[in-house]
Amino acid sequence: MAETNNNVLEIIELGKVFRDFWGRERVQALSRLNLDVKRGEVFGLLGPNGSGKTTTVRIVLGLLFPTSGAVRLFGKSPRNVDVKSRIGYMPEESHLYGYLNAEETLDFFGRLFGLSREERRRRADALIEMVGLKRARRRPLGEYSKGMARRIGLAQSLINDPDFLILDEPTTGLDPIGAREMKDLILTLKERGKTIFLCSHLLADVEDVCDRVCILYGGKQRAEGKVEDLLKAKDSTQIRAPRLQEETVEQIKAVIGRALGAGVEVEVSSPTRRLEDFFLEVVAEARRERLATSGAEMGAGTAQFLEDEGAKAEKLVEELVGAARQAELSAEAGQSEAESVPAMTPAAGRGVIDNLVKQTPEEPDRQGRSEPEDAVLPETGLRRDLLDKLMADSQQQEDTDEDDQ
Amino acid sequence: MKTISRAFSWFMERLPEALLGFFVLSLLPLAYLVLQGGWRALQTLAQSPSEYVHSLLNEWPVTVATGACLVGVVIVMYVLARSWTPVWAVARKMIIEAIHRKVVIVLLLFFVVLMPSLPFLLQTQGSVKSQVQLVLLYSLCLALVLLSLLGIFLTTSSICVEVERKHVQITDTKPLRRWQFLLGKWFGTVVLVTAVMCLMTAATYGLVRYLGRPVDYSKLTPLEVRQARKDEEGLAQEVFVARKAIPTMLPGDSPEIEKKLKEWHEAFTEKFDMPIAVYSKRQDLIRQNQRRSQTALPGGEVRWRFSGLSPARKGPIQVRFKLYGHRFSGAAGLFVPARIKVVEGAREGGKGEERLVPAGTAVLSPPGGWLGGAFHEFTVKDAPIGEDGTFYLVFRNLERNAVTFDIKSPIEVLQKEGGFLANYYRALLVLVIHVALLAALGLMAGSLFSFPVASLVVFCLFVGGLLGPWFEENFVKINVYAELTPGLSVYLDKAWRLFASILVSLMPNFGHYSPLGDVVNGRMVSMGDVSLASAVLLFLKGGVALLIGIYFYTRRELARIIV
Repeated sequence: MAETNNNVLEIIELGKVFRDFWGRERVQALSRLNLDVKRGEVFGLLGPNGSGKTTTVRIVLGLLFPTSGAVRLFGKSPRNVDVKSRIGYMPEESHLYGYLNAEETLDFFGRLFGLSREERRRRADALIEMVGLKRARRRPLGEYSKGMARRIGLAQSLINDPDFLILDEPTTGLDPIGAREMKDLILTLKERGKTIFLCSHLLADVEDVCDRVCILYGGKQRAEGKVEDLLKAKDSTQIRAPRLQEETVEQIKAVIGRALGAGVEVEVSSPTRRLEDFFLEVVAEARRERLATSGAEMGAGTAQFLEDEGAKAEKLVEELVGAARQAELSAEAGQSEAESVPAMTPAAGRGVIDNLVKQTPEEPDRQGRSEPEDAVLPETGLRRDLLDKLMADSQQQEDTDEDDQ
Repeated sequence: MKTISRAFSWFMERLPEALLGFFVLSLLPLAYLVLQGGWRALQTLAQSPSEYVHSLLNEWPVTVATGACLVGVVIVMYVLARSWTPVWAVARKMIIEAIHRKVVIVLLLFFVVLMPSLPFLLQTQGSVKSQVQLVLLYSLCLALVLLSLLGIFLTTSSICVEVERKHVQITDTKPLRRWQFLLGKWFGTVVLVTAVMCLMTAATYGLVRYLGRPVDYSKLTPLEVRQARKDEEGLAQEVFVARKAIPTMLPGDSPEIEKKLKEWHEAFTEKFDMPIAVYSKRQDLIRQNQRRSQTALPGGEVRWRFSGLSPARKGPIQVRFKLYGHRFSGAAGLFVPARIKVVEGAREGGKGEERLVPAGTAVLSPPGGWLGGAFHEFTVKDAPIGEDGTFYLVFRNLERNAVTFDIKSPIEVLQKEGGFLANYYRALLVLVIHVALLAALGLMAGSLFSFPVASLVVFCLFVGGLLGPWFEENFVKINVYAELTPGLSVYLDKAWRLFASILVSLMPNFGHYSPLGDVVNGRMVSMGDVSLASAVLLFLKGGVALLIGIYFYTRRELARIIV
């Protein structure tokens, strides 16, 4: 089947039976599964343990053979070498070579893709930095923690800049920061038009990033569709507002009661934050206090070769705007009424950056030690070197403007 | 410390490429030898095409093997060239893996410690020559065994561990065909083993050259000088040399034997009224006839004709023989070189009669005679080699008993054909071929079985291969059932012979192609021997093993869940 339609992956009537040594049927892992993953979407395969998610992924990768049905990747067999050169795979557990270090690992996989020496080195450097393993790049993978191993597992899956990325439980073993970075990366790759197929039993992860999901149970497909369609509670309405007085709440209840009739239950409560957001806030606090960690560091965004120039510029602007918003909010913390955030200009941006630099701890290091190059500024997660570059660019832009005038 | 660490990392990063370079360099002499052989063949063809074709047909196994090797080399080079990037990536990782596992370092250390201590461990009562021969033999055996174990361990463990630890579940999702994966593993092992083999054999070469170094005569007594000169001469003529061996042709099956066999068979069936296999009886009769032809009765003689010597090569030749008999009882006798002389008019009709007449210096047995069961060698300085490359030798028995020459290792003459270094190099090639076959068998077993089982299977094949000639001699060429159950033996004999022949042909049969005995005794390991070993062991058996491994590996579910 040629690659004629918009489907990257097609799974047709897929069935898989595991047999014992004597050929007796033992487990029906998959039964008549039908799926298609469209170009540019993030597709999630959900299900409890033993529902057939990993079996599906392994069949899609050609590591298992289907008992019935067929799988087409880019219109071809999954075992086709051309197809394999376009996919990236991060398994549930890191099955990498413990005696190789991060550089050697990425070099090995880069060689399998036929990348040149310079390209391998460039991509390995970028990926190692992206996954935050710059300081552990020469340590054998056997010495890595589970989270670090997951990070290098992610890096190897991106070495070929794949069109189709398969992630098996992508956030398992990662700390919340790593998990957030992983989700950010998935969204970045999606923006670049990559297709992503992930399977997970962590529903929050899937909900955050997936366009469409399929829920498996007992090897059978139970539900499939767009996330918002599946999650939309069509028989109830939610209203969100700043904190209201008790009287106002009562008035609203009365209005709803009149509209819907007596006996209808109306619930009013304060919204709670998600644990993930709370955790990230605590970690940011710890980073402000400069607590040392020997494990993986915070990742440095997306590797450059995975981003096009437009996406990179957009991201910079987003970071800048976010930083500005946060700085101004801090400055006006006393005011109860929030004002709208003004549009970002180079001059305003520079002011924000100056503010941020000033906000670094007053006594960073009494013993005169220099800061690490990739130190992360508090609050924003924005890197100092990135800021310096930005300031230099802004200064250059301003100089150019003045010359023009 | 940091600098050392960086230097080590730099070295380790480049080590696989360095070993590959070393591998290519180690094959350059082979290319030279092949070109030299090709040039000689062209010269012969230009001078006398019919003679060239005749020699090709005469030595058809070597001709076929050489052709198969050329085809095999072309196929391997084509496949490697087409898939170089992925194959080398896997091979490179294989080398790094072996180094990281420290197997190579341990084996090298083991060899480095053991090899220099061999001269002290293997103290002989005899001459320097025997000590050099022993050290050479044991060092090469040690290198072969260690590297064979390395090849078996690396290949079987590598495949099994990759599957068990699920490394393949990532590697297999990359654009790498499964046959490229196996080929890469094999190639990496061969590159590594060749490099280590070169190091080990170079060390051995240095040691034996040191042991056989010239002696300073000024510090020796006349008796010691005499012994030292004898040693030097022995080393130069019998060890540090490549000599072409031409054994005597023993009589085979003949109409007389068939007649005797028929008479025996008729008598047996008439007496017992049941069928019986005749194979072993025929072999018995042939052996009896051969033994008779190699026996000199008291006062009698045995004559040999050796053809195929090079009349153009001047210099002495050696005669090597072994006698039946007790190790402590010597046999006295006289070897006389001879030539054909045509005596005119001796026959009626005027046609000349050909007679053997003594030509050259006779060699008398030493005091106490030549001991039985051991090899002996003597030099014929002025050998009368005929223009057709024929040499005649006569043995006159001076004993009161009959003297019989061994028929399993028949008497042979040895003529210098080349230098020791080239011979040593060709022997090294055959040893590398042995290990390359084991690597292919390891990959085959690794594709079929789990780690310890796979290693055990290949180890058994290795031992079986070493014992191949013994197995063939004792279990294939005799009828084990004939004496026990004559009635059933016809069918059992056929079934057993078929089974045993298949088993022997499937075995690596290292013993048959082993160059160790030859290189230690200064016998020529010819390019023909290398071609035969390559064709049979590497391209045929190794190729089949690799193909079987690839067949099963490509059909294997690498992420299979065992229920």
